[in-house]
Amino acid sequence: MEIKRVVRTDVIFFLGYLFLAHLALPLTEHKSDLFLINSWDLYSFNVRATVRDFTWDSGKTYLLRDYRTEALKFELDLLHLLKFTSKSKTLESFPDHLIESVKEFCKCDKIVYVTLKGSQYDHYILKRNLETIGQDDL
Amino acid sequence: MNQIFLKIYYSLLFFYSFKAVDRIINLDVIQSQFSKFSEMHSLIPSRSAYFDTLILCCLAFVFINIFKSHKLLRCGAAFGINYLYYAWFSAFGSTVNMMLIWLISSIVFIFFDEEEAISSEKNKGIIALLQTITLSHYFIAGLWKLRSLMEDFSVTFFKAGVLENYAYSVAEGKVGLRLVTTFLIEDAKFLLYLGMGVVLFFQLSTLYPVLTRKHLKVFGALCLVFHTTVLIFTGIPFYDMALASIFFLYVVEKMKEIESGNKLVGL
Repeated sequence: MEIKRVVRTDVIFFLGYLFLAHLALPLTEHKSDLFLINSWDLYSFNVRATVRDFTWDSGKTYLLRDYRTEALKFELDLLHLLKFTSKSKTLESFPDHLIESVKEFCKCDKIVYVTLKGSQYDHYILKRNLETIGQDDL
Repeated sequence: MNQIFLKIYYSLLFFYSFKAVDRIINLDVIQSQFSKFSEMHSLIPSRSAYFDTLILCCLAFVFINIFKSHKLLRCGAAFGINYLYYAWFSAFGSTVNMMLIWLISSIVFIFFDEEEAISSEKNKGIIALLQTITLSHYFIAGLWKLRSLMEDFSVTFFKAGVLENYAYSVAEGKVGLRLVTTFLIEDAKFLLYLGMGVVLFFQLSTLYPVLTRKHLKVFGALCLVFHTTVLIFTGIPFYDMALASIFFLYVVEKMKEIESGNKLVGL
């Protein structure tokens, strides 16, 4: 009897959470977050036609594509840079300290945030030179 | 048994917090990370989030291991780990889903009754809640994959989705085996598709132990296999989740078994 009650409460909690976080909020507020705590879109099949990265030598090399190993040794926070670029946030929301860290890493005054036409697979894995369709100086 | 249980949990929480603050070694990096802190959420820019977390979790770890557990210590540890999470969010604007189970468990464990057995009515509810949250991480990840598949239910979309997912994982991974990545991309792309099918099935199947409360130990072991495979193939360790799964699903169930065994033999 006790076990049944625990399980019943548990199931109600679980289904309520699923309803709120993954049905009600995304549908009504067009958000994928539950009170800014959980974001699950990175775990879905996110097929996009564009990819974003940082460059400082007119697109010859890219930070996230070509300098990952070196940047990690430099303690550059690649994970957050990658999340910002893959979630297509606005430039204003970019933390200044991350931009400063990139500048320090490349020893340059100006870095460019580029939007490339193609998929993440083409960019990160196949390392193809994709067409630049947008760029912003940082 | 419940004392040992709490000791294990707070030891894990301490080592977890230690791992979370490993960047404490480089104080300049932390200082630069918190430069944006006050602007975004009106919180005092400080390194204290890191120090507080480490100190509070360390106190809880030492005292609970040497003396009896006290609610105040548990509150301190819960505050520390939640404060770190909030500081992280304020500084970076993004969150780490995998930390969630440790945040919630640290709060829930304040109400854990150390005088009662793990399988007592009150403690059983707490454990069941944490097991549900742990398993729901996997289920929700599967649900979101399924949700995106609903947009374009075709083999082409699935294949493209798998490759995109894999590309992101490789970009995020830190210790991925380059040999494995090259082999998968050049010679065995079908393994990626097959692997994602298995992942999707596994993630969605985690609803079963939640609803039935059966085979929790098996799923705990499967979660560990899942994370080890992901680590080898993409380089993402998912320490937080692997540790939580093995503790809340496998260790807890094992301890319950031992406890009931002791009762049977009259210990």
